[in-house]
Amino acid sequence: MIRIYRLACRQKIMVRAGSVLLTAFLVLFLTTSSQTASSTEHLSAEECYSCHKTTKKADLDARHRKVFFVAREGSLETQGCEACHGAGGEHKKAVDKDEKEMRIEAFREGIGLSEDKNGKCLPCHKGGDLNFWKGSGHDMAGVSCASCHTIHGKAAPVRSAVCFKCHPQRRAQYQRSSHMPVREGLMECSSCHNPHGSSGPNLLKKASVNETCYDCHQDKRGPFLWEHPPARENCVNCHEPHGSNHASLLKTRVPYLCQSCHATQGHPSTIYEGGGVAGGSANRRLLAKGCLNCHPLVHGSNHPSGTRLTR
Amino acid sequence: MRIRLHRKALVWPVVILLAAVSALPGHAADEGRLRGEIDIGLHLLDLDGSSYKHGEYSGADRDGIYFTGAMDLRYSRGSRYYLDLKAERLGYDSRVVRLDTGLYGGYKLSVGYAEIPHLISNSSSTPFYGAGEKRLTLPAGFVTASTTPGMTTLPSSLKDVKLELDRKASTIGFSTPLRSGVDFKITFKNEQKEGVKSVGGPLGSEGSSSVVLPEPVDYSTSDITASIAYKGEEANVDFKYHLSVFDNNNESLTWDAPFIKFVALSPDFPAIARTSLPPGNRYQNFSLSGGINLGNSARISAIAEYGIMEQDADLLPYTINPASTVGTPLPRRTAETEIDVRHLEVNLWTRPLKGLDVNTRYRYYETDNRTPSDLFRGVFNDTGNQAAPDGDTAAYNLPFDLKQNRINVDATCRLWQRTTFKAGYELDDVQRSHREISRIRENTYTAKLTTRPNLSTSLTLNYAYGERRGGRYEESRVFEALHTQDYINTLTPDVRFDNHPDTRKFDIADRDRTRYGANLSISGISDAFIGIYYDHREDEYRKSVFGLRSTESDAFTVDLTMTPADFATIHAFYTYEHLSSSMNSRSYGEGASKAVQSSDPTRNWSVEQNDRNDTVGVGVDFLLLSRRLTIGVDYTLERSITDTGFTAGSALEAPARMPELTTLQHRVGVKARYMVSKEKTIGLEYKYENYSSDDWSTDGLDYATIAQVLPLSLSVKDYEAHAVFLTFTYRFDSGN
Repeated sequence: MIRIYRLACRQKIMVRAGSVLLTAFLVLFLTTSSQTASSTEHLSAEECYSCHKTTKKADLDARHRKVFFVAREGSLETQGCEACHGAGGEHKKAVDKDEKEMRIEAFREGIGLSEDKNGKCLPCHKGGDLNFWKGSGHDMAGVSCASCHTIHGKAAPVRSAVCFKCHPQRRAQYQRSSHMPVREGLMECSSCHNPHGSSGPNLLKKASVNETCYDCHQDKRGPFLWEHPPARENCVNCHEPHGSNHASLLKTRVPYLCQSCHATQGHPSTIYEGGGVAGGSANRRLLAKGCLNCHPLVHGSNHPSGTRLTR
Repeated sequence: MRIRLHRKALVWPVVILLAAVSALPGHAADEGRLRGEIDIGLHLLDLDGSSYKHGEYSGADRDGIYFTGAMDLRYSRGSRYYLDLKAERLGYDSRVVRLDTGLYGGYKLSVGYAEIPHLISNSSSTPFYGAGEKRLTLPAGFVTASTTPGMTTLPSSLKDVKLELDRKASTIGFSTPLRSGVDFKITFKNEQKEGVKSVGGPLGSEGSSSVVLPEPVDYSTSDITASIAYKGEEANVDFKYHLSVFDNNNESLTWDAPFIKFVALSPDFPAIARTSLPPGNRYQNFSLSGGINLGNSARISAIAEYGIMEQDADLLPYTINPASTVGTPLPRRTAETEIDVRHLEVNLWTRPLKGLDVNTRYRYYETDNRTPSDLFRGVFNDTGNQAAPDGDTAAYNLPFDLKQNRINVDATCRLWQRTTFKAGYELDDVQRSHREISRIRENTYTAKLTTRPNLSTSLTLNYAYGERRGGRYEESRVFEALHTQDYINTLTPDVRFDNHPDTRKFDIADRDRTRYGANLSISGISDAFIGIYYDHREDEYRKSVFGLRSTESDAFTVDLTMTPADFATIHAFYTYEHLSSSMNSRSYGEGASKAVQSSDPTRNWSVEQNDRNDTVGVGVDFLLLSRRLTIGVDYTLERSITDTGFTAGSALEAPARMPELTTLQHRVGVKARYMVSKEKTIGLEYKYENYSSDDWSTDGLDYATIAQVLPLSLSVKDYEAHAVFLTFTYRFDSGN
């Protein structure tokens, strides 16, 4: 009896499990079917704007509006809103906000039909500055186009404030006494970096740190008769470009920065301590420009007697 | 407060505004549509302390009234034609104007103008006439002396010099599609950089004296970039040419020497000395880049570049001191310097499985220095005679170059829904010429875990470890390349070095690099966002007996944004950053004492620097009266303290700590904007800034404080600034 009872129970469990699986399959099938059906029910842009009034207003100055509504040039461009968002029929039919958000191609994470949030952008926005997007640090970190860009509204360069959301340490560094004019709005992170991926280190626009710096500091480009090897190779050996407490964006204070490498006989190997400040011995290698009082041409000298970068 | 009207600042706003306003009726009459907004206003500045730091990048460093102006105009006609005119900060020295016009999908023409001022010091004085020019002369009757206190006429000879640079860049660009998918683009940029900065002017060598001089800056750079690009469905190619020509109108700076011989060791200082200034140079770059999509799951992209940096300025004579004896002519007349840059980068991204991305990148970067190496016989800073052929100042110029091969492999794997793990490996191999180590390899391993347990929470943990190792570090490689064999033969083997042989230059030294961090962000709780970020970086140079031993940084940030009500938003952040560095050295003399002292461990010393930085930002914004009135209040605090301490061996005097370097900045802003009508908005803003700093390199310094150095700039002045802005914004749309 017990055995028959156990058998019956097993059968019940199997029947129930089968029912659950069948139901799940049907739900999945119907859901998939309805999604497939949604791709055929199209909406005009005016139908979209009838609900999305704020977007309509923002789109007035949008570059995308020109492409998709005014100066249409291809089959994709004639699709208006649906060129990016897909067919909107099911989205319109959905009852609540959550359901609506899941029944349309959307670009914020966690909503929308597709997981690939950049899939609609990259077919048009390719090459040029985006040549190295795939596999870049931001791509591999899952950063999407919409993480930084506002799609609707006037095309405007992404300001540094957007970068600071994920890189807050940089925001603090730009507040320091010695800084590039980023907080004043005269430069942006994108003045040096290409956030879309680059062939340089740390998403820099150029192939190397120095080539990026030489874009603005051409006087340091040389080449010089007498080179200072770490300066020729990488400006960041001595400078902190995002902001510093020390003049000229130096990483640490002169003379100690120089003495990190130079322990030559005589004054380069000498200790310059607190007794050398004004009021003390007023040491000529510590005060004013420190080492640079006598070795000013640390980026290279073109003087035939400039071997020690003195002139 | 003395009200001063900065009339010069009015010119730009008036010109641009008149041009824009005159355009209005004409365009309104045709079928085009003109819309946009124009801002005009006044900036009243009351600056107590007259510090350049206030207007460091705006130029507003004086009391008075400044005009402000900005505009954003957009004109369109038909379905494709557009013209955008944008201008910002018109009343300041940091103004920007840009005009873009063209046809959507067709040609595009852009014209731009931008200025960037950089005030460097307004507490500088010099006895020289001609600041800003390439010849500096001392006033008649100036008493030269061996020390600054001995220059009895120095106080009466000092003249204020404002150190500032001003960049003015003009750009013009044109692009047009040549055929479907093929675009041509060309841009031209000319930048003028003018002003005065500072440069050290030494006399003599050991026992030298120095004058910090006002250096004239009169640079001009012209850049042309032309490219032709193809973008197809699955492939793109871009060929680009870039030419940059830099000119400096001042090849050198010549100056009267205020010092006479200081110590018996030095020969007499010259009456006139000369310093070289950055020479003109030229850079060309040819690049070919492109990419191919290999289906949806792979893309290969690459760039091949060839660049040429060259400079061939006439070399100055060894000295302009007629009393110096120069027996050898220059080995060549011009610099003849050239560095060729070769760069190849190939990137392969693949998605072999759903949820697994793999990226492989190879980099080859080479700087091939083709500058000829010659023996130059030195005359130190126009003092004394030309060094003998075996002297330590006769040296070969060394054409440093570098060859880098690097490969990275990164893989991102989705472990489960909303959780990804990224692992990476990088091998960096760098070969250098004329350095103490010829080849260095660095292996770096990275790992990163990102999880989003729900849509409102994200947690990232990252870790990286790098190990850089080189071959044998040999100071003699550089020493023997730099000096003549005749000179080396004059030295005993135990002193045949310049830098102490146990010193390791940190850019090529063996290094262990560790980095780890964590980010946590939570959003959606009562419309709040909280972000917590931590980052730790550490470089250890374990094998460096002397030189940089370690650097370490810890950065911690808390970010908070809240919307407690529809009409109010609060934002706040705090960042703490601690940076420390530690280095060792050994104090040793030259001549007879060199061999003994350089091997004496009781002469060792070390220095440790600690920077602590606290940055705080708090603000609240209100939207009131049906969003017609916006009110915002912001406060920012930046406090930095640098502490420097020492240890020293028994043979040295007990060192004293350095005074702390401190910077403290408070900034407060209160602003209100009221929309009078759809077209008109008025704004009122008040800003307060308070800046103070202590810096031992200039604090307590006067022009006769340092016996052998005549400085140019004294302390950065503390300041307190009150500023009021009144603005009027007019918006219009001819289509309404």
